[in-house]
Amino acid sequence: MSDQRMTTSVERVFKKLPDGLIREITISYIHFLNAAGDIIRSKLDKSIPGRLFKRATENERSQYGEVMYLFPDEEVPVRLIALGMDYQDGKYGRSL
Amino acid sequence: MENTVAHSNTKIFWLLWVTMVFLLCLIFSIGDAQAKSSKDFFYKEMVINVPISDVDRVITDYSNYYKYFHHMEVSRVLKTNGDNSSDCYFEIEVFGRTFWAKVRLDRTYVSPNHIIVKETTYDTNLKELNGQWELTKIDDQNTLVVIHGSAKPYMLLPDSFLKNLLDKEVSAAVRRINRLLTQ
Repeated sequence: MSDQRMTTSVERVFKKLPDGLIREITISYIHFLNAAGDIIRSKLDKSIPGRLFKRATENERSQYGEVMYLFPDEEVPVRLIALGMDYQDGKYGRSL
Repeated sequence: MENTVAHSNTKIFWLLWVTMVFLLCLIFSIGDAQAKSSKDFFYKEMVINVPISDVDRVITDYSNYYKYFHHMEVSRVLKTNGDNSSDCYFEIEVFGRTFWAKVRLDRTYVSPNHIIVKETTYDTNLKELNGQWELTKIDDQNTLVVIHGSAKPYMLLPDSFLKNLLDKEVSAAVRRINRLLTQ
């Protein structure tokens, strides 16, 4: 029997869509550890599309959620607000 | 000798037959598993560059649905129950057969920026039919339109095939609505 240990982690990222909106994506990873507990290999488990967000204007708020996010191609974090949707996990973003 | 050959041929024939049935069962079960992993059979989202009130006007114009849905032959409002509820009749022709449904469409204003039009079927020759429009205001000139739901006839069709067909149908319908509103 293998003595290889594993652990998991979850990353929340935001992807810009062509229509100007931003899609929340939750990415799950599986990490394989050696005997010392160091990560030796990681594997993408799944990515789940979530809510749609947009860039907030100065006084714009959302009751569905807000987040500050730094896009890799930008220098300053931006405030994103969730659009009001009848959201159910796994239902939206199939066309991702 | 001839008997042995004939017997051998029969065995091969039955072996091929059983293998074919097994493969068909496998294909159908994969299709079902894919469909069950997602809650909806069709799904489309699109940003339309017009105010939410304009999109709302077109989406709730149920008698003109035949203009947007390619396979829809008849769309008729049977009865209106106040401002936000209508009973409608839709007829769809596909696979050389006519499918019909009497449905109730209820519009709900979740907030001024968020409208849901939910469809409930009360009489149909389909096995299953449900759907929902969702309009979300992005800003004064942009609206997010989402349509999702499922439909299933009493026919032996792989769910993945049906899903693909319905996805194409609603995608084309939303594109037509977009063209109508933005031109």
